[in-house]
Amino acid sequence: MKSEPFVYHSPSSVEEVVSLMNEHDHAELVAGNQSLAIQMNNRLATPDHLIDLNGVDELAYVDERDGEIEIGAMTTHKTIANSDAIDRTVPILAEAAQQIAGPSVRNVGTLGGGIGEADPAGNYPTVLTALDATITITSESGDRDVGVDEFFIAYMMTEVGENEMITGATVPTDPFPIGRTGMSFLELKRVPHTWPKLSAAGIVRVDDPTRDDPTVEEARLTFANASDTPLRVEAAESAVEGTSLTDDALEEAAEIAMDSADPADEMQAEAEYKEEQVGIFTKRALREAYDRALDQ
Amino acid sequence: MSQAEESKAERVKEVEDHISNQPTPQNYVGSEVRRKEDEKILKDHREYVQDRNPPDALHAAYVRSPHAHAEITDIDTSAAEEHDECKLVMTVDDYRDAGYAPMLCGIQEWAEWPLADGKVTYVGQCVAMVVATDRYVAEDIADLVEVEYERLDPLVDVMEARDSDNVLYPEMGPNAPSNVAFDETFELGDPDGVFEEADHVIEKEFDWESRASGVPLETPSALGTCNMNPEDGEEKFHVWSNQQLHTWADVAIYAALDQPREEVRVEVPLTAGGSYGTKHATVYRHAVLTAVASEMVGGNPVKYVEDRIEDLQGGDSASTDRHYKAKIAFNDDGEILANDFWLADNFGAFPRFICTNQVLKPLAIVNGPYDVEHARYEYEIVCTNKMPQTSYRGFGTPAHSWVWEMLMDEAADVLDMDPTEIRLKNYIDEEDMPYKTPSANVYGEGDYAKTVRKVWDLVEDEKDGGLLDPDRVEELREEGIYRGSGSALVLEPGLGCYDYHTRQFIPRDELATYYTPENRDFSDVVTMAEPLEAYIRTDGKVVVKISSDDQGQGHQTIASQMLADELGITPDDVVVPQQDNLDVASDVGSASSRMATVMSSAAIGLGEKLRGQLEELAADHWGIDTEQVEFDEGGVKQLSTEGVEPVDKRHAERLEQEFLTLTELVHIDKMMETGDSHFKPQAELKTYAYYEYPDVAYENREYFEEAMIRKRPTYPSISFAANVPIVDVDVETGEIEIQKIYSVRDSGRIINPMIVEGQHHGGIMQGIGAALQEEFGYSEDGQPQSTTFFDMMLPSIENLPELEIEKQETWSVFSKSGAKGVGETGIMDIPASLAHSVNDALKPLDVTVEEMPMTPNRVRSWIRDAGDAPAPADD
Amino acid sequence: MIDNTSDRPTQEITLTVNGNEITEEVEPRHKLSDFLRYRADETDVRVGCEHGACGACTVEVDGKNVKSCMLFAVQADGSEVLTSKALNDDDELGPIQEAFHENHALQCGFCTSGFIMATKELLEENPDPDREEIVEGLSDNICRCTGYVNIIKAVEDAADRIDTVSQATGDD
Ligand SMILES: Cc1cc2nc3c(=O)[nH]c(=O)nc-3n(C[C@H](O)[C@H](O)[C@H](O)COP(=O)(O)OP(=O)(O)OC[C@H]3O[C@@H](n4cnc5c(N)ncnc54)[C@H](O)[C@@H]3O)c2cc1C
Ligand code: FES
Ligand code: FES
Repeated sequence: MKSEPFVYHSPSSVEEVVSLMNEHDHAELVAGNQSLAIQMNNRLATPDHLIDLNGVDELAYVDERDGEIEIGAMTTHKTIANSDAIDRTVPILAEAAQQIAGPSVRNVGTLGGGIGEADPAGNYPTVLTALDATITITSESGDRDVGVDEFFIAYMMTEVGENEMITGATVPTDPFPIGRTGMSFLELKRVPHTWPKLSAAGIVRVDDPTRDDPTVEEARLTFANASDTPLRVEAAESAVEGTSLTDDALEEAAEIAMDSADPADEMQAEAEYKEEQVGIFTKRALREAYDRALDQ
Repeated sequence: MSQAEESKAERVKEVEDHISNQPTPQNYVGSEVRRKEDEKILKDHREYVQDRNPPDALHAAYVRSPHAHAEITDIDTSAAEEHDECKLVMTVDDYRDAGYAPMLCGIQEWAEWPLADGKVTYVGQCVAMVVATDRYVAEDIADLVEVEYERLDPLVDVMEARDSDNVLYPEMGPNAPSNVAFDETFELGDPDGVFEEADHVIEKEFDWESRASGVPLETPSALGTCNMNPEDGEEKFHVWSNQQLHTWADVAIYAALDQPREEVRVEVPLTAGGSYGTKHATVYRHAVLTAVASEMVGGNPVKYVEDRIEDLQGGDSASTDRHYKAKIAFNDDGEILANDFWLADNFGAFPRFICTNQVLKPLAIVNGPYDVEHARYEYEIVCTNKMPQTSYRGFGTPAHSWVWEMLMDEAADVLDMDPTEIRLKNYIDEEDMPYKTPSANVYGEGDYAKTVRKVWDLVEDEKDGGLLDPDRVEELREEGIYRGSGSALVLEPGLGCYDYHTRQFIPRDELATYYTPENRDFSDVVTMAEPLEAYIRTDGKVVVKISSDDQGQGHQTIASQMLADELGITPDDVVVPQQDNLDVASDVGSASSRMATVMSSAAIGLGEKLRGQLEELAADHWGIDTEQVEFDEGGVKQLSTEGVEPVDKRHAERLEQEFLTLTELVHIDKMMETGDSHFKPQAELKTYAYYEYPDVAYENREYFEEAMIRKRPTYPSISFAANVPIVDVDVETGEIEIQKIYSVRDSGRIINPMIVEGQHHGGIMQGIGAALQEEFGYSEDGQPQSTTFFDMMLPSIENLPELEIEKQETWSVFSKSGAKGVGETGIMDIPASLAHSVNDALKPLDVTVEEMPMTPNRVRSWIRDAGDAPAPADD
Repeated sequence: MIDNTSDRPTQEITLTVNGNEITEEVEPRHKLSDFLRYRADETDVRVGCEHGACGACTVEVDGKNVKSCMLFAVQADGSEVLTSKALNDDDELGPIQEAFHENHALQCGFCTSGFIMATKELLEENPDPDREEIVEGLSDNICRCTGYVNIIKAVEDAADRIDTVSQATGDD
């Protein structure tokens, strides 16, 4: 398991990265290297040039602003998991980061890498989809913002084009007022050294948690590994919105979600099984999110 | 007292006598002596195989097959050979033309070339070896070798393969042309008659297809060197590798190299990075090929380290893969009368040397822990396009014990009996020990029923406010969490006899008649004794030479503890150096849980012998009778000098020194103390001793003679464990969570409780892995699905449940030290135990376990198939 | 490894490994794990998977743990690297190693250096972890021999030992 030869570059600014990408054909960016190294070691990825983002300090930040929070591409899983700002505003993102592997992977793995990798089982793509984030893509011609719903286009393929890079992700926090929003991230995963067979992100905002049986004002429901790209099931969200998350509503949402899923077969998780679990996870994720919305 | 009881009592007394009569106190045996191995490892002073990097070494990589089954129509090595840094590209033709031989297989008339010969029969099979200046470049060059394949239909399913016309090796084996490489039927007692008469017969099919295996963290590796111009006495080949059983399985290396044993030095590290039985068959291919490559490149050492993906996809690293059709017969009162197990074991592309015995070992416990007199045991070794199997801890018994326990659950269900009750009814009575099984193996000792009761006593508190509180269990069930528990007692046979290993080399149709008392005498039985050698150094330290290889079990520590107590010294005074295959007598090695058991027994014999010799030496020195001296801690003391008149002044001086230390004794022995030292040959030294502890079954001939003449597996060490795992099944997701495992574990006399516990912990975890998550899966076209640790889900620290283990010591009546095997603990019993608890948990849903591993998707499919049937009114 | 890099790209790097500065010409594709094992002779860095899953190769680079099979050596140019053996004091075992020894937390020892590094980072961040925190802290490492039971004990013990040392030296 040894990589093919390549030339190594270690720029220290985004500008430099962009110009290196333009200069060299068959260049690949490396962030935490927690996914890319495996592909390179197996010669599944064989770039001629490797551009290392670890020296680009300007990409490691968590910036909490009015109504949104922006996270730099080179922010590590560890930073995200431990960030007070994130934990306070969009705790599901911290939870998703915390559930990636163990401490030494989280020390170096990054948000940008997780998005750039676009693994259908990846934690960030799913959670950012639930949060309706915007991804910032940068190139010589400047920044462009792409909504997550348009960002993941096919199996492990994203909107990031030739000579472009991800510089950050912005999550709107307005839809998730603290005190009446609950979030849940659930995984079907036996060991930390693997990817989940399935995971679900559920978000619920209620009208008034102090009332009896508060009503769901808004719900979000997304899945990882239930199709080639992160799966958001808006019809299932609608099914529970306006209800007090009754069993019937959950049941309906689960049915819809199962219908929308189009998972691939894999060892120990055939498509049939995953589809069934999409139903179970729909109920569990929304239920947990709802309970958390009420319990603050 | 019955004769059996008498002899049992005698044995126990013998061991006890040994301890009480021994002149030196038992300071170390039985206590938690810290391991000798650790400091070296922790300081990185110990060399693992991969750590050796001679400056002139070259590095190898393989071209491996991407297909499960294909004809090789062409191998073009020209582009590879043109690469500047290419030192060698070797194909099977190069290997064969140079005069080397195929590797050993486990079945007569079967042969496997170490590189693919004309076709490939599994993904990852080695097709060519490339040697270059470093591993990175070697992989570059391997990519340049162009192999053309014509694909053939792959065979993955064992049942399909057994009667397919698509035969992998039409010309090989006794059944040729057939994918059933070997098969046998054992009729023991009168199974047919009993099945006919019994009140009930149940028959079920079971799949243990996980191929769960050891997967040690250190991969197979070898550094082979050819000495191009050997001086007299120098070997032609030197192989440094993590070959398990290196003083015995070295035959797999020198036979392929077509050399006498003396020309192939096999050196192994003092500790290899784990093996659990697997590095027996996973390593020798590389040992052979690196040695050959070294010769071909002119003598540079050639190093090969298998990478993890190679290992998981085609490294011969998987194990048991069986389909069972199993029956038991029983009466209305729950008495089990007979069992009939048929199994087809998917051995993959080649039935590997010795690994084929994994289908035979279960015969030694054909009846499990139950008193059942009639049995049929039928096996087929089937070849398919999966990778070949290696051996693994348990050596084929975990699946057998699991099938037994599942059938017991079924029988309980049929009779509406409590599952523990039906087991208690059928356990072999302690009074009947030693107990002869239908296959003529003998269980020496143990009170199974009492052990099961003991584990339930431990669990008792859980029933009131604890994990098994009925209210809590009910509450959980309402939430969809089905909690279950149950006690299974599982046997852990060890110390397999050597003789049966070659059973499958005999013409198959002659088997039934060949090994019978009419045709075979006991003296024809081939056994392997445990050799042990020791000598005293001039500084008084004792050097012990052991032939068995360590992969983490703590050989140095165990040997040091034993010899320390035998000689009344400390473990620090004992030196246990590394031994190459040529430095010591051949020994089966670290297999079949032998080390602690037979090595400890050998140490007792060696201690006795050495003490006697030292007494003679001292008596001689003092010019007195041996009766007048006695071995004491660390030397020999004078008891009296009665009737002795000093002949001269020097003699008088000698007599005045009433105690001779080991250092003084060695100086006397070598005549150094007189100044006229003329070193004697080792064999004449009284401070040197060689001892062989006979094969345990051989030594207990009166019990094992029949089985040995019949060339059946005898396993005279029967450890056992009774477990109560408390498991939670999430019936919606199919996930199984183990809340706690209670376990009473009996492995005979304990030499080092700390090490024994360590074996239990590790083995239990491997059992959990095999039961719940580990799997070498294959797609229909024969592509392996677990090629990284992301898919081969070895248990992580997060999978560790709470364990409450109680150690019990029923000393072996057969082994001299009283110890029994502990090396295969856990993996043998935990899968069966967990499945039993899962059956209990899912009883309300009418679901029983028929397939391993119990992964969430499987559990869910069982529940789905049962139609989510609501509980039949529980009592 | 024979140093024959012909015309493939190479780069000079300088690393401080366990206090020793090492300058070498390497191919950028060489992993840090291979660099440490073959160029720096730090064979206590063990390789069990080369795909980031087992943790046997864990080392500390500039104060944080990484799996050295998942980093190219050139990426560590200019860094301070610590491997497990640096945690021993002079000739004595360091407190973490001592705790592993005392608690029989190693059998084959192949995973051990990785676990020691994981323990070091864990205890630096959390000197008194409870069982759950220990499990979480070691979740990047696989051991196939010990079933982890004694490793957990060793970490608890190491925490006590380090505590005692720091109390004694007053550098709390
Ligand atoms: C044992 C283990 C378990 C894991 N388990 C999980 C899990 O459960 N869930 C999960 O989500 N992940 C898991 N991961 C993956 C981990 O999260 C990775 O860190 C992540 O997927 C990739 O991030 P990275 O920074 O390491 O990216 P890299 O590996 O460096 O890069 C990944 C890809 O993204 C591209 N890329 C990186 N940065 C940018 C950028 N700024 N702009 C454009 N492209 C970029 C790279 O070119 C490359 O193609 C696991 C990893 C390991 C080793
Ligand atoms: S060798 Fe690096 S994580 Fe396994
Ligand atoms: S001690 Fe062997 S892998 Fe951990």
